[in-house]
Amino acid sequence: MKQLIWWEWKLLWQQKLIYIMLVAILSLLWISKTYFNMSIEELNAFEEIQNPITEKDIQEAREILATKEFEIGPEVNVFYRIDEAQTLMDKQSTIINQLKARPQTSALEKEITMREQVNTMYIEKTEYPIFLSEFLGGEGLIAIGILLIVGLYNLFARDQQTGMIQYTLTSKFGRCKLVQAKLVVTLLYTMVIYIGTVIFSVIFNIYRTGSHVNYWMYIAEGFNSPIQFHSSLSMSPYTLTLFEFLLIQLLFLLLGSICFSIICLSISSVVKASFISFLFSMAIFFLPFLIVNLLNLLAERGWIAKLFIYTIPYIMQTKRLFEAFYYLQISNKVILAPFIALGLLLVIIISSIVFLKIYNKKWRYI
Amino acid sequence: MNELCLKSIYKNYKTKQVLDNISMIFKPGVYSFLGANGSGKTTLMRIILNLIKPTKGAVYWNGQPIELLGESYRDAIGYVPQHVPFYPNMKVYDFLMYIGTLKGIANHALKEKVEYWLKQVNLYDDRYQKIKNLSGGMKQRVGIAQAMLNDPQLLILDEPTAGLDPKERIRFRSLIANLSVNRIILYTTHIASDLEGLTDYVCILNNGCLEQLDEPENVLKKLAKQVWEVDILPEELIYIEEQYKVGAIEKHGGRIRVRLYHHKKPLPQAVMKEPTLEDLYLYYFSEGQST
Ligand SMILES: Nc1ncnc2c1ncn2[C@@H]1O[C@H](COP(=O)(O)OP(=O)(O)OP(=O)(O)O)[C@@H](O)[C@H]1O
Ligand SMILES: [Mg+2]
Repeated sequence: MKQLIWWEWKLLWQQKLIYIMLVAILSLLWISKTYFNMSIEELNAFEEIQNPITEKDIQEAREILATKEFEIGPEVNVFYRIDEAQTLMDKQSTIINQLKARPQTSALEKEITMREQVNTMYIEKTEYPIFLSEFLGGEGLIAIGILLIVGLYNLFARDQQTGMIQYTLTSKFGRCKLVQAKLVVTLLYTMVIYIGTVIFSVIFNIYRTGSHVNYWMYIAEGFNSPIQFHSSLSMSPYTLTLFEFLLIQLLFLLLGSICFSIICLSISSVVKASFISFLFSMAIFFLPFLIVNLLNLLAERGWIAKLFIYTIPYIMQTKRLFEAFYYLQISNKVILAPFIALGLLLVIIISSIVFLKIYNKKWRYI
Repeated sequence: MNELCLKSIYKNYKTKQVLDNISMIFKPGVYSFLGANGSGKTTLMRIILNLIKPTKGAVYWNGQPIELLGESYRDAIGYVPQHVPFYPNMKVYDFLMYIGTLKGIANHALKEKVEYWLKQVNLYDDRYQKIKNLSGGMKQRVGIAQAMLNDPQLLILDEPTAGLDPKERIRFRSLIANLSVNRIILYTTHIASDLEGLTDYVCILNNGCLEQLDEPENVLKKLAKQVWEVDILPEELIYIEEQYKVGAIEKHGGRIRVRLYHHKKPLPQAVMKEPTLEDLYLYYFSEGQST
């Protein structure tokens, strides 16, 4: 069995398309990369803030912003950030007040309690963690998707296409063992792609944010800031630091990748032509993005748009799950979006594996 | 001793009947299936291999239905498909190692077997060539080598001689003759001369029906006194073809020599001939008028 896994592993990596895509992705990244620049004085100004910030800091910052409005000194950024902290707090209390005015339900109560715990009075240079998070949920996510599709769409389909399946079905190990081997290989490949992308993202973003002199020394900072400083999460009801959020994002990215790769494998085992298998996998990964963008374009942001946060690519992106108080109510229990997503991934993973096993047991040539 | 048994096999594709009530018993020996294009040879082989399900009927290996046997049955068979499939960029050696792995042979034993069979099929020097660069005959031999790796009790070859030149065909025949000890070998062909001196039994398949299953001599005996040779004028040919089943036609000076099949003397000048295997094939599969 080990021998078969080894062979399948070798055959997987012999697909030239993987390398072509890899080169394409890297060169696109290289062409489109942007840097983050900040002067050393600005950076030092951040160092002087005492966390958590107080009412007094805010007062001071607001006064300075009011008087020195057009004099952009190195510290201005800091004052803006302090001001932003207060704005974020205000936003939360506005929402809480609106919620309190409505007839109370258990979901509403839960949201209010959660929002009351949010505290944004903590300021650091958050550029690196936010860059990293955005990269993982953007370019990184797409790279993972493409590399998984390119590596896996043909895993079974090419046996069909070449007729090699006739050997599989008439040799001792048969289809069942082959399915097991391909499943193991798929998981290994997914891990390689995932770990590779994560390591690349970490380093590439150090390079991007640290391009300016000495900035890389401050990269370790910012992880303790509340997620509300993340531009897409400013209204989030969750009390999390960027570090915690990144961990959650990495978990969803991993589980989502595994989930998606097993789906690709299942499609490849059902569909008999490589090209169709490729199209289906592409559709599962990219169609949700397309549809959501179309819906936004049509300004149709109802429950349909909300449903799409539970599609695999959006779960892998993670931030949509945390951007607002999304939940599902089952009798008295309020289940929050991240838990729904987690459950969904596990269900899909398990049922795809079961499907692969059962479907392929009865598999025939025609 | 192994025994393969087919019990009233039917196969329909939608409304089209491809196999019609085929029952046979195979014991070790060489069986050749003779049939025109589309007569159902490949379909029958695939049913025996459990690659496709018969519409009705079942295949038994040593008394057990093959569907229930699963792995142990697959371990006993070797199969050379009609058009040997392969991954285009794979090298011969790698291909054999991969198939051997699918057959569950452990690496150290496998290496020896692969080298042995590479030598047997005379491909040892080409073992690092990509399969897609090999000639048709060489691909065919790769197919045979892969089928033999697990030392199968039942070897099935689907048109193994198609596309081989005469020299390779002779080499193939001696290879099969060597392998035929204690094995059931089934192979399909539509080349009558393949049967000469090699096959133990001839099975003639016509439109999905089993017309004959017998030793070659006996099958030929049934044709005895039915093969005639006659010299005619070219303009008479149309008439002859309308009246009789016609086999080989040769030019002989200004006249034409025709081989035809009929139960009694067709023309006064006709000469009776010994039936050959070629006659056998043409007798069953020629398009002419039957009588
Ligand atoms: N998957 C299929 N669907 C529908 N019809 C099929 C299928 N496979 C085979 N057939 C039909 O069954 C008949 C027998 O095909 P088969 O391939 O068994 O013939 P064969 O004797 O092997 O012919 P050849 O000498 O050309 O290899 C043909 O008429 C073919 O059209
Ligand atoms: Mg055929």
